[in-house]
Amino acid sequence: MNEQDLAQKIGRRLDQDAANLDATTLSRLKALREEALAKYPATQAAYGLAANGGKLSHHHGRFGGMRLWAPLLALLLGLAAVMYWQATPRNVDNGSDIDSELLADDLPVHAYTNYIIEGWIRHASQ
Amino acid sequence: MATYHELSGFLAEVERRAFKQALYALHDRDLALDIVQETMLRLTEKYASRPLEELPLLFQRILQNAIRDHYRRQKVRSLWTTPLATLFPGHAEEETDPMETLVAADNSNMAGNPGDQLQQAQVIGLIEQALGTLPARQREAFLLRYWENMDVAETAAVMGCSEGSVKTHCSRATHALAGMLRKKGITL
Repeated sequence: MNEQDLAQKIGRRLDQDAANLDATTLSRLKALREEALAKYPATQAAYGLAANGGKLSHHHGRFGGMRLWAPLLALLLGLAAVMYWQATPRNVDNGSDIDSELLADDLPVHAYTNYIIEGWIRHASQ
Repeated sequence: MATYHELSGFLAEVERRAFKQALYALHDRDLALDIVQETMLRLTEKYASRPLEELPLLFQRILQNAIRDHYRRQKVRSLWTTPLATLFPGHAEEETDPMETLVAADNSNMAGNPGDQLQQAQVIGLIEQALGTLPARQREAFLLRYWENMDVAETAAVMGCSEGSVKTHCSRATHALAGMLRKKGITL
């Protein structure tokens, strides 16, 4: 007997075995099959437009196209927002000017926290 | 696109063999059922829109991937559990040949020529045991080619390897099975 014959005979024996599964396994398999088939209508609905109308393509129905474009649109909006934020002048720049003037001044910085000197500065500015 | 009834019929046709394939690979009934469930769900959820004639190949591909994924997960788990097992020895299984320990069924008739006397169930039991001892890739190739009746190209597509590899796996598997069955005095 050559290899091919032996292999096919083994295959037939396995078929006989698979045909004689016990009742418990068969009922479990039936339950699993029914559970899987319960998912079928959802899939069919997604492709329903393509099947019925024929005007819309298989993958890009009306809402399928939206699903495709929505993330791209969100990405573009996000990029635009980042660019706008970077281009807008902010108050931080003004604050840094004041800081550098204070540090470069002859008067030490801690003098501004001294209430006597602060009072003198106010009085002098009036 | 496969209709609900076509898909139902297809699943009913393949479920037993799928269960057996998973069982030969995993040696655990519940795990095998889990694998079949995963395969059926994935096929229905993702590929129900495909034509009926594409389903057998897709189903087999999903099934074999699920079995391979299980092997991978098991391998990762064993990376952790093996060092722990060596720290706490005591239940280590001795390596035995399952063919040597197979017990004949009570209703078997053991007198005379073994090839004539073994009941069909016993022969199938021995074949299953022999299949269980094959390396995973050889078993996969053998079952796809000679049980699922796929051609070499289809088997290669399911297994994700070359056609040459499929032929080599099938040849080695058949040789090994023939040797094991001969050793037990079984002639098919």
